Amino acid sequence: MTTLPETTMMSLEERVDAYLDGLLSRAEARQLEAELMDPDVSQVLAEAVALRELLAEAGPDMPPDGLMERIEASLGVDPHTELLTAPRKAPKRRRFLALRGVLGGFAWSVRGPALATAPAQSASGGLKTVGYTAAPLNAIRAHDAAPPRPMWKRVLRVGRK
Amino acid sequence: MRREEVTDATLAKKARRGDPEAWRTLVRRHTPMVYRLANRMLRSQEDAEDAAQEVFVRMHKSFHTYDPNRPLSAWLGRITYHVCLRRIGHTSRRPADGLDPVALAALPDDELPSPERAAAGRESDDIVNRAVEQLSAQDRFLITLRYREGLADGEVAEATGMNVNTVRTRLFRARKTLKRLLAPVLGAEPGEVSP
Repeated sequence: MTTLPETTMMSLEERVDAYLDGLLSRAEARQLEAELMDPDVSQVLAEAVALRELLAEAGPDMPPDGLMERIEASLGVDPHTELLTAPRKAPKRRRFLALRGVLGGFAWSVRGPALATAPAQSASGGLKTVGYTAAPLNAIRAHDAAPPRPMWKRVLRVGRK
Repeated sequence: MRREEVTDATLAKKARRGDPEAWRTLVRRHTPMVYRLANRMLRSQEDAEDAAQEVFVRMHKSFHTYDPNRPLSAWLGRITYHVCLRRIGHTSRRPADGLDPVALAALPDDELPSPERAAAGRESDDIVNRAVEQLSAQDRFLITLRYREGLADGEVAEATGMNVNTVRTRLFRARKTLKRLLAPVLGAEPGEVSP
């Protein structure tokens, strides 16, 4: 013990704790290990180890259900919030093309081929193609109807049946 | 995502850049420790849940001050320590003589059948928890951070802002109190444990 001035002032419990925490020097540790032949010393060591094992296992293993999700939501990093706040990609041209195809098919089934071609010809404006679908019908009506009489014929009543 | 694959430091760098997946991984990795510390300090499940949430909100706000070269557990432990201390208003110490050592005499018996042994184990766990609750809030925190979470003395000191020697002294006193309270449970045979 004369070679261990630091530990001579320590109680056995303190030395055992220091031994378990790795705070003793090599010589001090060997000295304590030699003393372990004494049942009292080994009992103190066994109790110290048992206490550490009990403390390492005590308490809940996992937090209650839903706590992690609550924390993620409060930070705004949960998958639901991320889905709502993430920047969205701009619609691609092929979506307009697909929509144009659908509208074209619908027009064919309702009004026939003359109307159905109208959106296809003026589809560069995207959804505005719907507004042009009446133009071919007006052209057909105009062709079938009699041409309007000129003003001078109406005034002079020329060619009136 | 396993802990061995992505370190806290890597996740911290990603989280600083606003990576939600990195944040989720950090939250899921460290919430159990934060909750256990808060639960041990506050002795209330509801309070511990609120405290854990507050800890991560504070972490989120002040994450720019975290040094990724330091252990995240100690940094989070410090936030937890201060959040819990503020919540309990520094009314920490309770008398250590409120526990009857006779009531702790129920030892788990290895000869019992398995379900009974499991019940005895739970009872032993309850006994240990009741004994730990007799310590002051700070000592409960120290004991939990050191032995339940496995942080080194230096990391515990970093988390609490105490001197390392102060941490060791307080831990020694806390262990001494626990040994006295748990004397009936700590009846190990001398030959059972080897250094």
